[in-house]
Amino acid sequence: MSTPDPADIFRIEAAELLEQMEQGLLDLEHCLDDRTLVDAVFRALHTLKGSGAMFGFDRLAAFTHHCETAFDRVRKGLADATPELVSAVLDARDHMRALVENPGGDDADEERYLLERLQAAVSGAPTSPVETSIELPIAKLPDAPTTWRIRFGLPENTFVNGTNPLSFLDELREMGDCRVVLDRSALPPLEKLDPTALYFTWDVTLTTSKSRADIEDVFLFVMDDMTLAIEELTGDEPLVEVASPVTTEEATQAAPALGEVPVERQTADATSRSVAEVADPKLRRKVESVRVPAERLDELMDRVGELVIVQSRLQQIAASGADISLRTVSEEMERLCSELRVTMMVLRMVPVATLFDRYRRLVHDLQRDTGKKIELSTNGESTEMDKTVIERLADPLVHLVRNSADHGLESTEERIAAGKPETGSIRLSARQTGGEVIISVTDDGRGIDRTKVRAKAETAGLIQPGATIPDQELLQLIFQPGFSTASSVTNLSGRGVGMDVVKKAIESLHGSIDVTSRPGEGSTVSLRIPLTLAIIDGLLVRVGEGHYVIPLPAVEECIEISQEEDLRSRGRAFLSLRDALVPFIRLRELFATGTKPDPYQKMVVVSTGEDRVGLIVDQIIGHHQTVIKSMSKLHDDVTTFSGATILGDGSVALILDVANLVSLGQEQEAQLRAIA
Amino acid sequence: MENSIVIRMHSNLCVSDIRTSYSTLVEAMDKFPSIRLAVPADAIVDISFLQIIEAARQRAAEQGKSLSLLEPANGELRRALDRSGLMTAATAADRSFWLHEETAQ
Repeated sequence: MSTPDPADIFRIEAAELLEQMEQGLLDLEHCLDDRTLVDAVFRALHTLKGSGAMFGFDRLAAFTHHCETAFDRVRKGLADATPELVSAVLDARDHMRALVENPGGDDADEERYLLERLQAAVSGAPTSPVETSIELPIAKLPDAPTTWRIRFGLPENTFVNGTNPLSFLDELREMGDCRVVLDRSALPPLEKLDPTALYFTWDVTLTTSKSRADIEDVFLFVMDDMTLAIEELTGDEPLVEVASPVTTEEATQAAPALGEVPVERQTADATSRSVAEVADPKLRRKVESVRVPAERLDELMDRVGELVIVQSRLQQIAASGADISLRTVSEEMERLCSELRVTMMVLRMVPVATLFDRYRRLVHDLQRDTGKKIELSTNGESTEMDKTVIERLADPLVHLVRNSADHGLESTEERIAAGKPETGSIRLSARQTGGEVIISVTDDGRGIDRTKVRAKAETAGLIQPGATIPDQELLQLIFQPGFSTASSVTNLSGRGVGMDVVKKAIESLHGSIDVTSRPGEGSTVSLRIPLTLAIIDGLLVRVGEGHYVIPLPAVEECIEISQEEDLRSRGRAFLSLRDALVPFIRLRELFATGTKPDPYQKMVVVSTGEDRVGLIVDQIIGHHQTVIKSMSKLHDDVTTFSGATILGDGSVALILDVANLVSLGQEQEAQLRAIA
Repeated sequence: MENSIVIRMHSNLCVSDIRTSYSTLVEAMDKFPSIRLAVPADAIVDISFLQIIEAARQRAAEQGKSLSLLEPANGELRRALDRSGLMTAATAADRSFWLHEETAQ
């Protein structure tokens, strides 16, 4: 396995910092007085600058330094946080991102322009100097030196991140009279020690005229991951005692505590943690996490997939013989595979919030570009999805949000005239139903103009003039290539590219799109997406001589159909199920197997949300962990199957696309109702 | 089995190459009852080196082995000891190991 390029590692870190910065700025825009947000943005800028310089991204470091300096004026109460400043730093942040991707980028003019904007945004004096001086502790530095007790522990991966703990101690020494005591008590035994991890912690007594904020600034780079307790000593507390010299023998007898500094324990601030906590490796481990490249997760997923196939093969071999031991091993293997699969899936799941957060900035920019007032709200952010799915949803959602802002929402004047609030609303929501997640983009705008859609579709030859088509089909026309009802083209949308791309992207995820719209009230575009694209729980069935997999989350129940019931249902497409008529599809007929039905057929009732359909199969074989393999490009137009899987004996089973089958059943139902 | 060994550490005693020093030290502690370490005066030293030596001292004490420096810490090693604060609250055993200072009787 090759060692990752340090520049790539930095790029990952920089992406996170830029994301933090953006979210912080967008929050700050709504709470301009929030000191915590100002600090958070400043910290992100400071860390980006430092890490950039460390990894050789000098131009990024230099540019970020200017932004940091500008933002520091706000932090110190010398300038106000204003919408103009937030906007300028957001644009500067975009430039930083460009410099991360292309460290030698040649856009000096853009850089100069951005810095001038920043300069203008922070050059004025604070509008409320009195309040500022009260709120910001920076304005009341103590004149007389204060003695501070600073206890800190850095993360174990400090060295690996390129940080030298000695530099923090040097910085503290530069602040004043400083006494540094090293605590070795968390050092593990030699054989268990990771030589590249940091275990030492420190207890420092510093007498300085600098403020607490200045001391905290020393640790700005690592503040989020470290443990830090800063106490102001008033002179009443016992000072940190120096260990009295002991003999070698004494030291040996006290072996487990070698390195322990006999520091008198003091009660730390309510907001800080004690040295004991800092030193406790268990507590330190709590905040540890491992950053793993996404492709390694994918590799691991592939391995798990192959393992599941092999396990399935073993299960078949075990079932066909009489070897009890082999069966036992096979069952154990199945259990472990199942657990491994679940663990793997959990590793890959990320909350939808990571996706939704991206659109805050988009909406911020759309407000500026459209001149409309737009409020973005989200719900269901904790809904989790496979990270691959989330990544592939990002662009389609950009199109949908842009479309809502540009076409859906009316101008402020139009909204006021229509008696609506002047601020338009775009809501992003996510919820899980069975094995699917439904992500909706809802706006409270003018709604889709069906007359315009119809006219455009007729002009484009998509439908016959005057043809009667169901409402949902009419609305689905907006996803046709080149389809746009916009009378003018904007830089946001209206070129007819976008919505068809959205449809293709969602279909490539084996998902589907529903559109609902009410004139004058707004529209909702709902994306139904499978939770994962990798492995699913399936119900293995036989139809004729072929095997098929039905995704288990969609299965409601299985019913046996006797020959009499089968005969009674000939010529019909409904079965009565607990006083409800359920449309059904004979898969044997749909797949034209040319085989005779089994004497006792089975109906598997599947559903997507409220709609359900029965699938008549010859035999239900049972639960099957299904590793999804994509179908070839040649099968792009096959809508009945969403993929294929390999069974234990090496044969292929096709995976049924439940959403398409349900809609096929619903169409059948609609036709029969129309005839009746 | 040999009774003692002198390990001549190389001049990079920082985290970038600390695994080499660690492996050498662990192997020597497994094989020899007495280990002496020769640290070049111009060696570049950081906290990671101090950590493995402190852990080795702990193990030597537990197993009744002898671990010592061939010469008192000087140069960069001494500077790292002072900068880290390891010597601030040093016990007699620490001072004896690192600086070869004898305990007053």
